Amino acid sequence: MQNQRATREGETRILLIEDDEKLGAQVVEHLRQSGFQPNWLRTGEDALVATPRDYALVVLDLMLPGVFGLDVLKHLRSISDVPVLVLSAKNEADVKVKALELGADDYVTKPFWPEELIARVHARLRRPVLERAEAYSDDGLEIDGAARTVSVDGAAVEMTKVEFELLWSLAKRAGQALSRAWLVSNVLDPEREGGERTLDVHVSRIRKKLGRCGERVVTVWGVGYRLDRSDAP
Amino acid sequence: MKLRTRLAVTVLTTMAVLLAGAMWVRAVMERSSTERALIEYATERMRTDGREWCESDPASFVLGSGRWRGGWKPWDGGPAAERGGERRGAVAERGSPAAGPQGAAGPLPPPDDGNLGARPPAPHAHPHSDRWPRIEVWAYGPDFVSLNPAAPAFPASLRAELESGERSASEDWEDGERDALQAAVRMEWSEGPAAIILARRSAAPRPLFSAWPMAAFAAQCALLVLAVVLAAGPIVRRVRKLETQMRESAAARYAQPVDVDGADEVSELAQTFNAAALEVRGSLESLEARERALRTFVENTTHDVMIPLTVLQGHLTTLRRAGESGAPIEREVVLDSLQEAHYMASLIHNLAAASRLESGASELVTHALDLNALVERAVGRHRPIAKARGIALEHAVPPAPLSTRGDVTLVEQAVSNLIHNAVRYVQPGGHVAVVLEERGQRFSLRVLDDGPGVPEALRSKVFERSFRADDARSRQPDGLGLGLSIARDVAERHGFRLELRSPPEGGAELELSGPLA
Repeated sequence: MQNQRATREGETRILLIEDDEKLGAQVVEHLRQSGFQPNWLRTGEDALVATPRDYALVVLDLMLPGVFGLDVLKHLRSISDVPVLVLSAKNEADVKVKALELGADDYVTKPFWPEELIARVHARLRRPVLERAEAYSDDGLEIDGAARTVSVDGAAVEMTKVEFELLWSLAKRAGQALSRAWLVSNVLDPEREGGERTLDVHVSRIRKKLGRCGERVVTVWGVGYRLDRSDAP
Repeated sequence: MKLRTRLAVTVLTTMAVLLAGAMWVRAVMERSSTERALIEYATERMRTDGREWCESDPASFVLGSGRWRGGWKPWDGGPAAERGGERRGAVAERGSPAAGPQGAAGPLPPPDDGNLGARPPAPHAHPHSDRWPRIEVWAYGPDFVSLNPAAPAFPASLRAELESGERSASEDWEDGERDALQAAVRMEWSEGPAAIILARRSAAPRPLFSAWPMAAFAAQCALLVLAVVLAAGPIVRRVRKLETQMRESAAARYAQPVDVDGADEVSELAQTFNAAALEVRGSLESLEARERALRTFVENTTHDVMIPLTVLQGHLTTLRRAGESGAPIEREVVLDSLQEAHYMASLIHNLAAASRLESGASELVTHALDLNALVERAVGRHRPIAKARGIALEHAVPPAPLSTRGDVTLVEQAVSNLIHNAVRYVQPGGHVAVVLEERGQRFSLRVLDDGPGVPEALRSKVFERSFRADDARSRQPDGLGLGLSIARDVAERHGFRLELRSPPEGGAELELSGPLA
């Protein structure tokens, strides 16, 4: 697995292809502060001989004007399926669409906040794990999607069918909010009187049953609910 | 080539071709009539008195001049003229109409070339002229052998034709002179020394182009060219006038049409030009309007960028001084600097979006776009500043990505504007939520905030561009800015719906909705 190889030394290696000295240095600094191990290449020629399988993710500046960045992207895609995050200076749809068509996974438009870039990198690295998740385990709270069991600090917690579906939906996308409307129409039994009021009742019961972990099911203003991770800020 | 020159050249070329054709036709017809006449003349002469004469003196029989072929011309005079004089006289006498009382078929004049007018009855009338053709008739027996030793050998090709059953045959005769023709006739009496006759006609060379017809032809050509040039005059004048008017119209940016008079091709051209000019004028005007709009926009935006930039410069100066003097850095100043930078980035994105929106309806290129990713990017853009301001910016997207068709840059900018708008007007400690949901076959993207909301009086104006021009330029919380009008434009151009609601519990809710792809 690519990700395993790229992270075998405990640090996630990220390849940055950026020709601007100041921006490159800044991005490298922010990636490092966020716990990544960045490798910075300054030219497209270097990028063409890089070995993408050593990295968990590639941050590629399209280096506009010109299509050189797109050439690099094409090359990367031809030899690897490493996630590629494109930095685009030009706020033009055709370049972004072209990049996405050529296999870029996401893009960030300049100017961008360092946090914005880091968040996109995290989101991209997390995605495949989330989608394949069959169990959630975090600081004492264990949820097994296959066995349909919940335990807090090793003690099993009894849940109704609806309560488990609700908690599992949130756990599969931990850290992301789900809207009340989505939860109502996808988790609650449509046969029974299921409105947003019912949803709130189910959530408050879940919180109670989870005990000390109950506060991780947070109400998100204007949105719905989210299961936070223990390390959430 | 100018019109007149072209017409003249065309006329002359056509005339030359016609002339060549006419000459060819004339030559063909002339040869055929000459041949017929030669045969008739010779036959008739033999019938009237030639046969009788030949049978009485076959060894020296020749009609015309027996010595002519010998290389001297009887009309040249000299010693030979005396020897042949008597016989020539006989020919003339017997051949002349007056001297042929027994000519039942009527006397025939020698063949005429048909073109040179009346000719003398006998060649010797002009002894020193070689303008008239000479004719001689030789007689041969049925075996194609003449008893006259001076007679030429019977031409093989003519003999072959007669032997194949033809009564008469003719061919061109190469005797060093043009128009030479010889004809062989099998007489109706098929015996005796004059069973077959060979008539030879020699025409003197005639100029191919004789003076008079050429002069007439030249005059005809000149007249024709003159007529054509005169006829072309008014056309040329009208075309020139039209050209002048076209130049004037172009110089006046196609504001004035050209005159259309008459009902011919020239007036059709003028009409076509007017139609084209109208179209050009239309695009020019819309281009100018667009350019004006864009210039105004750039001026406004430049002004808008200058304010936050000035504030940012002030803040940076404060921070520099604090750093130099070792004073603590005020958190407020840093936060405000971040906000100003963020605001400028947003403005410049909007400038790009607006310039594309202003540049015309035809340029919208849509692709399938992932709304989940779009919402996450747009929220991500504003989260740092929201966090710095102490505002909770949250979002939710459905687990299965929703997609629609659109211009990804414009739609993202519109969504970003909705979020930015909310983040700017919510007080610290407030909330902003972005919720993407599927409703039937449509997507619904709501941006909710618990800010001050939009006063009833302003609700109808928030999406208007002019609203911005009046008081929304102000970056105070009560101004709603350029962003919403761009969001409105983007929604309209995509066929999406953008609605502003004021929920009963306060705050504002903006909803962008449209069809799913």
